[in-house]
Amino acid sequence: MSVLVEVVNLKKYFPIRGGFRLLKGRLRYVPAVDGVSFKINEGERVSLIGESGSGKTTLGRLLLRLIEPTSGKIFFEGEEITSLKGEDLKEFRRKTQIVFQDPYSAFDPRQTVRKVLEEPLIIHNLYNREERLEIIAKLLKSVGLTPPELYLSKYTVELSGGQRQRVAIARALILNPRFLVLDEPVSLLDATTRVQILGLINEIKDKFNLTYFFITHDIALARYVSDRMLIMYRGKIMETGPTERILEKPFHPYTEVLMSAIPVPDPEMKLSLPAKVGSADIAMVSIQGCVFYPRCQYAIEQCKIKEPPLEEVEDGRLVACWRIK
Amino acid sequence: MAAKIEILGLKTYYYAGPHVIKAVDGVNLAINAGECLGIAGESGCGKSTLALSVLKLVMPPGRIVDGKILFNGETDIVSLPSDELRKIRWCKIAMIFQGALNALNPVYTIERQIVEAITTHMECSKGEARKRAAELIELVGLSRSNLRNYPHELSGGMKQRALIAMALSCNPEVLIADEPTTALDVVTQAQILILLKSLQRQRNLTLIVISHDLSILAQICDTIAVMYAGRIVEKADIRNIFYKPAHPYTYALINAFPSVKGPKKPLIALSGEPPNMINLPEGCRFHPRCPKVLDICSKKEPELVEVSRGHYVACHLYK
Repeated sequence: MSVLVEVVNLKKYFPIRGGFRLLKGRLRYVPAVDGVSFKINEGERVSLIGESGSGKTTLGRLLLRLIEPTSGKIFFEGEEITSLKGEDLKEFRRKTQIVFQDPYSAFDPRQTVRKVLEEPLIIHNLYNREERLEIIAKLLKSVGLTPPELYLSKYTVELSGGQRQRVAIARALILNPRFLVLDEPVSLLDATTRVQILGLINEIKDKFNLTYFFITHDIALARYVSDRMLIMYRGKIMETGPTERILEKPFHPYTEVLMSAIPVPDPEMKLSLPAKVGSADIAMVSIQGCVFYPRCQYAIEQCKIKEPPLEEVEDGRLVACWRIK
Repeated sequence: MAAKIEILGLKTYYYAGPHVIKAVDGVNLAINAGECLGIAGESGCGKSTLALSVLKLVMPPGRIVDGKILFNGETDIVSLPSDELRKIRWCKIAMIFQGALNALNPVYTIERQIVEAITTHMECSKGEARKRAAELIELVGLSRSNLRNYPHELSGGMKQRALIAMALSCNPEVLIADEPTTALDVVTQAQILILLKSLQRQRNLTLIVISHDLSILAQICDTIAVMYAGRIVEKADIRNIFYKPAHPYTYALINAFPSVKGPKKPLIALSGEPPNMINLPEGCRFHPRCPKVLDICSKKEPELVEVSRGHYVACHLYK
């Protein structure tokens, strides 16, 4: 298996402008992504789990160079993407695509479904008119919008959330990309629609030879769409490893908290949180040691002073925690 | 003893030009004092309209066209004049609305908003009201310093707690929470659910929780009513709903929430889309999507029948 995407010590800091400027101890920037390194192999389904504010959306956008990193390197197919220009950049954009969270704001409301899907082909100068129509029709069938003729002349505002998301997936697939970032693609859909779209996402992976990066706050969903998980908290990776193994036995205290906080559709299994959990909205003070220290029920003195490195503790499993050692 | 709230034959329709959307179309529901009832369903099923109807808060072009809503067995909310209704709203029945994170007034402090809620509905001096506000804010797990905050200074979870404090400010007997944890993080969500449950026990509240997320309802409810296209399709105590779901839609809804613990069960997708409320299907409204559909389903609408004690289903599979 070859490495498709590699990220090395990636950082993205957003400066805080205007308004409530700096008091002692507060940061001048928000470290949305704060030194993240990992690899994604070809054909893998990797999920990124994080609550809001963890930096997961920022990381997704960095991978596609939708925003520029503050520092660090991103490699796609072995090439560093931050220095790509012109035709090379265009080629990169063709090979990497994204499906966004909100199907209600993902489209130009004045474009028909046909126009939505045709535009990328036109921009990349691919095929003639008849060929394009054929490809679009075939793709609409692949995403479950049949018969295609029914949908081509519709405007996206005429479609339901689930149907729109299918169009969004079709749009992401139309250029035959290799790498697909999915940023919370089902969180705004109804429960039963969610299941349909997740099924579709899994179905098309092998059909279109894709590698996935699935961003979500919902570990339960990640279980169904990924083989490997990255757990993110305040801009850093806390734990990574094969999905089932992490779920069976989480190593990092934060992963443990996440698992205990997830409600399960079973009245016998009630939630119980460790007492120290508090809330994620602690004032943005600069933290020297582990970012999870203030909320960690197992914290020891060392955690306050020194940041634990992300290290392999078991085959394929990496954790950033002093306690694990 | 009479039910705390009894909804009889409720119909709430929206009139949009030539179309009529039968958002709530003949709902019968009884909620007992101290009970926590969950109303489950996907978008468009009518659950929010049902909640708004209980406090007669449905705005035009929607209105209650038929039915009764009995409070404490005697007062019919539907036929109450507005001055009488005022005595019930907030004081007896309070509500946390959907999308509540945007419901706080951005230019007033939290204290001012809670005090306003109290003095509007109760005979209370401002000093007394401020004292109550301080008690309430601590009750919901915030600190007194938060009283001086403006909404934008609080996180989503904190705003939700402030809203719960506001809803409890006049000591209501009933609390309706419409999607109380949407847009909140998993950990915050868990904390809010635990808070709601403990408040319910402490104050012997009657709680009605509306959610599309059955996992959330599994945490705090005693009974669940499942809605589809304006009607109740199943109602039972929580164990029966999850362990012995009768209606095929309930079954599909339970299986739409994958479990993170235990063995990985396959997700079975329900075909089709939620119904078009203007053009409802003939017969059972669920039949076009039902994996167990029978001939009669497309012709006749099933009635709600009791299949075992306290367990009601509207489905031709059961008689």
